[in-house]
Amino acid sequence: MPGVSPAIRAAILESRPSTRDAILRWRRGAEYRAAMAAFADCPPDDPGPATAQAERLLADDVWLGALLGPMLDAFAADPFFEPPFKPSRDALRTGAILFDCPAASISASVTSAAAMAAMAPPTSLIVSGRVQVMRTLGAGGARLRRWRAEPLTPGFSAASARRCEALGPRLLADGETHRCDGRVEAQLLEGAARDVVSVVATIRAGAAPLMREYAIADRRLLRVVSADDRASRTEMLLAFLRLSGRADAACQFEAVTRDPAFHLRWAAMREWLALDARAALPRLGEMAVEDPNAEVRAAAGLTLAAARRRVEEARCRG
Amino acid sequence: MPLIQMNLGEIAELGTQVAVHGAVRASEIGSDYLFDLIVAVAILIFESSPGG
Repeated sequence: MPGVSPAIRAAILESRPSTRDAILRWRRGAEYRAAMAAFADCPPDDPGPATAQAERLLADDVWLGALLGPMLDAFAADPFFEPPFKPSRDALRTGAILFDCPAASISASVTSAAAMAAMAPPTSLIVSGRVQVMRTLGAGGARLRRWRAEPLTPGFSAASARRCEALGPRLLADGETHRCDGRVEAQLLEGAARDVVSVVATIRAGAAPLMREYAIADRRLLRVVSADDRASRTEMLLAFLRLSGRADAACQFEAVTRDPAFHLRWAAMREWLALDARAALPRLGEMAVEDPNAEVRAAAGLTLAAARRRVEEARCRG
Repeated sequence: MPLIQMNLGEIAELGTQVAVHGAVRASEIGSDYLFDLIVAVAILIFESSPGG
């Protein structure tokens, strides 16, 4: 891979102050502040208000154009300008996150019609757990295939999950805005004759804790994935506490055994038992009886006898 | 009093296995998030014991 020439390196460094100034001006601008204000008071547990705000913002051509305008102008003036947009890229899509706040994120993407035509058709679909509002700027003649899944409940179990249901396809139209409730719905683009350009608001408020992947062929559940980075980070950190021998962190383990996410509750108990079974035992007994998820109750019940035996053996050894 | 520690193999697992966040791509969530997650924890471990 060729190195960066001194001239290019100098140009990159030279553009940094103007990049920083442009980004500061943009964040202080009316359009960015309008988005911050729109989502500022949205409750964290109800997607309705944030969804309504996203639909209002994305339907506003003037707002969207004015939001992107300063960034496009900065690009035109300086090829080394670095916009503050986190990019994402895969075989089909190129996109960037334009706006991000605790309640929602707004991203823009271009889906390649040529890549779509060249790729094998997808074999699975994702029920993402989050409500999305999609503004189609260029429909490209594409359709949306759509599915509906059962709602996630506290007693969810992969073994008893019902198949998702195929819904009728929807033809995209230039300029339209539509909502996909990713807590129970999934959609996939297909049949694009030209590239599809869209802006999507993803609502974090009221999101389901899990994503579900289903096979398109038979609509059976294939895989369950955490939809919450906080839950996955917590799992890793509890493992780190165990490996570090931090038995003094009992209150942290205990608190996570009461988390709304059933898999996280059990992950916390597993780590706690592996660190300090004596301290974890009373809470394990409670979970075997009163945890709202049947799989957690069953796992706690199965483990309880072994944990009691280990504690009793230690007491006898004395 | 010494700690009583169970092997993870002795502890039951849930029937519903839940993969880590970022294990499947959905909208802007993808492997970048998984990478960020792992790096963040690695940094924390390094900062906790930089010489270890």
